[in-house]
Amino acid sequence: MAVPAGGRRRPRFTILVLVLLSATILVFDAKDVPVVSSIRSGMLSILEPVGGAFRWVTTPVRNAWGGISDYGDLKQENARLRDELDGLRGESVSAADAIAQLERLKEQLDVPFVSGIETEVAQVTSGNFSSFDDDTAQIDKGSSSGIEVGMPVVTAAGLIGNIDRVSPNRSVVRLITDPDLAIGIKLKSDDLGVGRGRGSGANWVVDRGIGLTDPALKGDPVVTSGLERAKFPPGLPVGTIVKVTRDQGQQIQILEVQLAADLTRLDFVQVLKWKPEA
Amino acid sequence: MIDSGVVLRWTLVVVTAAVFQIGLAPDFPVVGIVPDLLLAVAMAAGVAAGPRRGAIIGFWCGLLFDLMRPGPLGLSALAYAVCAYGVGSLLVSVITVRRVLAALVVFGGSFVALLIFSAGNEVLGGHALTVGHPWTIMFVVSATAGVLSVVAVPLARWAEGPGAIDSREGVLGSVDV
Repeated sequence: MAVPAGGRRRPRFTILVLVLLSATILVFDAKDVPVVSSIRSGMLSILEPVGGAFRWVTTPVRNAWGGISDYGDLKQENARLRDELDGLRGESVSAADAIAQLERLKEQLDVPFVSGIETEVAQVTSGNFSSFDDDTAQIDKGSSSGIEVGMPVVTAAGLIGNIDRVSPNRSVVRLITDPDLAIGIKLKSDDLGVGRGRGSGANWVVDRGIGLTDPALKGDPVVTSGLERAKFPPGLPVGTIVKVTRDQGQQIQILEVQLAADLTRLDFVQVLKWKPEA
Repeated sequence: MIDSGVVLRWTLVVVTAAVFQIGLAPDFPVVGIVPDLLLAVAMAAGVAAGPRRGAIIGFWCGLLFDLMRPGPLGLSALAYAVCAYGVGSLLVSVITVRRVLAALVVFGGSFVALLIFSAGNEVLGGHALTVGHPWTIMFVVSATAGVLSVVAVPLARWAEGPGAIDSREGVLGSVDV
């Protein structure tokens, strides 16, 4: 028979204390108590470099797993790359990689729709640690680079989200796929509406403000409206309309939008040093 | 008083799981879903060390995970603590701890923990239960936790030291639950 251990004494009292402690932490977090935010920022600063170092050490293992688990994707990618191979023959692999990286970086430095707004180029360091949090990404710049909560984040293709949390050298971006991030939009016809995400993997949707008579066609661009007190400046590309549904009950049109930016392949991004009006 | 060696070993296990969660787990998705190593450790603590220690380790695993990601702070701590406690109570009072059974109990406990997390997230204004494919995530994460228990339970036994629940005999009647 096993010896009763310290770990098995007074379990009911222990679980009661832990439940109360968890509830207290939840309340503190909901009330935005400053010490909780500081602890979270501190953890972000500590964990990300540790994770980054660990990722670097385990690169060969991850590559091997990627080769196994992404076999189907790799097969398609391989076919596409074979087509491109003739054009690239003669260039060394390392030079090509460096050039590609430079091109991606240059793209971020020459984005027409952010002209007039000061920007900070950052690199996405990691995605999510859990499948329940598909709507965030982390970048390698923080408050020491002048980044603040609420600032919009874009790629050369368009809007991807805004800054949700900041630590001195890291930030968390809330992606526009998050259903809680409502965004004021404008159509080609200058009609205004409000859209939101529906989680990763689903089309973005404009479900407020577009009346039945407002012209909205498949393929039309959708940009941010930038109206007073908007979370984003005007004219940032969101995407293009891929489906229009008429809702006779609410007398509106519901627009499904394919996002301009590919959120599954984020690399370099730009943080716009633009703050929403209070 | 808790043995300092036990504390040290558990700290090592939990921190290592956290580092693996950050640095490795996102790159090893199972059918596109990121495994939850800290959940596996929490449940393994319930299996190997009983309800009280399980609840404590579950709480710390959950809190650490909450600090690493957005969303309500303390929700995973609550869910993991309650479920590790439940898993520990079930095992010490009902059944002998065998490897396959332990994996099944870890699967069940993990599923309930994720259900509590998702429901709590919805109550607190999130969308963990209504957006995306939450049931698939819950099933796959729980299943991977069950599979990981093959490693996590022996690790938990090592961390718990001589006080760990015996895997061959079970502990029916030896514990004040």
